[in-house]
Amino acid sequence: MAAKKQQSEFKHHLEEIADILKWFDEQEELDVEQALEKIGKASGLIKASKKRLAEIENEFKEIKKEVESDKLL
Amino acid sequence: MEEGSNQKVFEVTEYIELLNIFLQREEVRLRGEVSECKRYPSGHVYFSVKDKSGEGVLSCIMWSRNYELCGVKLEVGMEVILTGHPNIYPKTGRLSFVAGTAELVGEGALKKAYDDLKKKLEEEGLFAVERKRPIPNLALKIGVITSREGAVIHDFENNLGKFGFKILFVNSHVEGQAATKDLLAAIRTMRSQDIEVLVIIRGGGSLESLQAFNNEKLVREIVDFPVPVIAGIGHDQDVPLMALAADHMTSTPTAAANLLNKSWEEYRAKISQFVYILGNIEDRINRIHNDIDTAWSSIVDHTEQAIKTFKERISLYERSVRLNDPSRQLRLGYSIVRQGGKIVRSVHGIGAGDILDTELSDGTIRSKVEK
Repeated sequence: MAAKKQQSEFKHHLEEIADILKWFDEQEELDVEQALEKIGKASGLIKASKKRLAEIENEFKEIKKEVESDKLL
Repeated sequence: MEEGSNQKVFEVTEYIELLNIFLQREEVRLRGEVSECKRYPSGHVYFSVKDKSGEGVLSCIMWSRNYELCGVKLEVGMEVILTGHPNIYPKTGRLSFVAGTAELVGEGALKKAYDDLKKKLEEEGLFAVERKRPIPNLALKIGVITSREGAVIHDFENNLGKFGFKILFVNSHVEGQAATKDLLAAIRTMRSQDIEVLVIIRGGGSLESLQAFNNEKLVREIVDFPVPVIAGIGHDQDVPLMALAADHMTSTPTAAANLLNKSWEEYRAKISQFVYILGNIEDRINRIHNDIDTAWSSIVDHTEQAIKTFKERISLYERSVRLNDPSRQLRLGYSIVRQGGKIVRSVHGIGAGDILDTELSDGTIRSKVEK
């Protein structure tokens, strides 16, 4: 359940980043303070997403190693 | 006289004994008609045989054991062939023919004796189907009685399958009445052996040549034999009584061998079928393994691709966020000019004396437009 929740959060983070970038594309007159606030938020989301993706990748590598060592038996 | 005096002088008894030694070697077959016949309480039979013409007569003796064994009930007027040798009785000097066995002469007599005995044994239930025993499955230890001469034993052995049979062979004459003793001795030898089936075989023959196999004692030995008996005896019309009493009867030694092969061949067929089924199961398992491997490879590929895609997507977002970061532009030397808090994007609308705020990466400069 926790993993599923984390995966959902990961997906949600990416969607949020995409929304922020979209917000930038749509601005005709940039509110720098708002922009900085959004950039800060996006950076945090990116950092969290990278961390989560690394966890997912490691977890996958462990599973793969376990399965492939079983196949050799 | 001098020469004569050098010759050995025998006592009468001693000489008769010597004669008997010579006579005993002279075994013959003698044909004649029984003229007198008496069986004594001891069981020994004293009788005479004569030529049909009545000219030649010979006294005969048949010891009780041999008489019972030969299966012929001697009667006056019966034509027989005796097998035996002469013997002189020392106390009377009388010469008698000691018959080891007696055979009936002529198909008619033989057939009558065969029919009578068959009826008697049948009535006793010795040929009944209910008392037949099955051949043990996968029997390996086989006792075989036949003559080592001739092709029969080779036919039998050549037709036995290569299943690891262990053959215990006991040689016996199989021809004529004289074979009875041999056959009985062979069967009795086999009784004490570690065998699972006894096979008695010989090639085809006439009623006369198969007389031994119609012997009552032999039939009873077969009935009482501790393990199942297969009789593979060729015959013209009348089935030998021993074959009727046996648990299984085949018409040839080859068929007897095939009977022994049967359970092994069935077993081999079952093994082949089992091996085939195992092969199928193995194929199915291999296919499932392949399916699992394929599915696993697909999962790995998809997952790795997804991770790669996410990585690329995050990198792309990271780059886009960096590019959109206003503070980065300021650090590069760009500035934001505002008038009254609003960003100035054009020189139009700006005149001398207007106050402008210029935001840099590390602070804001307020300035006045000169022209």
